[in-house]
Amino acid sequence: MKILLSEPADLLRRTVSLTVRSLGMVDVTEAATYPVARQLCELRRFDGAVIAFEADIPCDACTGLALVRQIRQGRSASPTSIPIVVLVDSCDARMLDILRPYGVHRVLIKPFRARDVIETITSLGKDICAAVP
Amino acid sequence: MISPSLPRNEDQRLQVLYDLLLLDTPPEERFDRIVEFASTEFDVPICLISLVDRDRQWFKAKVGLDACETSRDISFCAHAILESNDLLIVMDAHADQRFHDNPLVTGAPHIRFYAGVPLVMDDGLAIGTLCLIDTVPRTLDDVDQAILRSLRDLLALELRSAKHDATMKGET
Repeated sequence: MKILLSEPADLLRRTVSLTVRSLGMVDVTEAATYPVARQLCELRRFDGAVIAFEADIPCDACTGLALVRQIRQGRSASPTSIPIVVLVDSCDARMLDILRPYGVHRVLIKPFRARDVIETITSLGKDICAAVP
Repeated sequence: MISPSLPRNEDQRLQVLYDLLLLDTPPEERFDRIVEFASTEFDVPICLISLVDRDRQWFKAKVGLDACETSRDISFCAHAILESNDLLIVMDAHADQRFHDNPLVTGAPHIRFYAGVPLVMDDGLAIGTLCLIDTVPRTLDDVDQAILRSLRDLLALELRSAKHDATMKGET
C-alpha cells in the first residue's frame, strides 16, 4: 500500500515516514515541497495521500489545495477517489466549506503529534484494505 | 544504586566521541529542534541529547533541565549505552534497584520515568543517548518506541554530518 506524504516540516515528515516504515504498515513516499508532490502524483499511483496545507484559508494559489484538486480531477496517476487526509494550522466553517467538495477523508488540526499522523495513516491503510473486494 | 559499568570498547568509544568535536560546544539549532520536538511529542518535561564522556555525561541539547552535565556514576544514560536491546526504559525509578536511591531520583530533577536510545555511530560504538525523562511513572508502547528510535536515527544523521564537519576542520 502506497501513501503520499506531502509535508514541508522536515522533522515531522521524516519522523512519520521512518516510523511508519519501521512498523511495516505502509509504504510512505515523502514530498518536502509541492512541486515534488505534484510531480510524484503525475508519475506514481498512490492508494492514499496526506497533504499539509500551508495557509489557514485555502485559495486558488494554495498549493496544498491545488494538489487535492489535481488528484480529484484525475490529473494524477492515482484513482480520483483515493482517501485524502489534510493537515491544517486551523479549521473553521469556511475551511470546511472549501474542503467539502473534494471529499476529504479526514482533517488533522495543529497542534498534532507525529503519532496522530502515524495513526491516521495506519487507519487509512486499514480502510483501504477493507475496501478491496 | 548500581553504578553503570564500562563498555568493553570504552577507549574506542571515547575516541569516536572526541573525534566529533561536540563536547563543550555551544547549543546548535539542528540538535535543539530534535529535543524540542521529542519533548512535545512525548509530553515529557525533560528531553536530552546526552554525550557520555569518561567521567561525566554532558548535554549537547536539552529541554527542561538547567544543568549542563552530571557525573557519569549517577547517569541513567551511561546504563543506556550498555543496552544490547537498543532501548532502556525505566518505568518507575523508585521500583528499580539500579536507580531507586540515585541522587537524580531522590533529589532534583526527581526522575521517575526514563527512556533512552543509544546514539550508535557507524562503527557500532554508542557515544550517548537521546532520552526522555518524566517525574511520574510512565511507559512507552510499541508506536512510541518506534517514534523514539526514528528520532534517534534522524539525530544519528546529524551526528554523522557533525563528524564530517569535524573531519573537514581537521584537514584544513
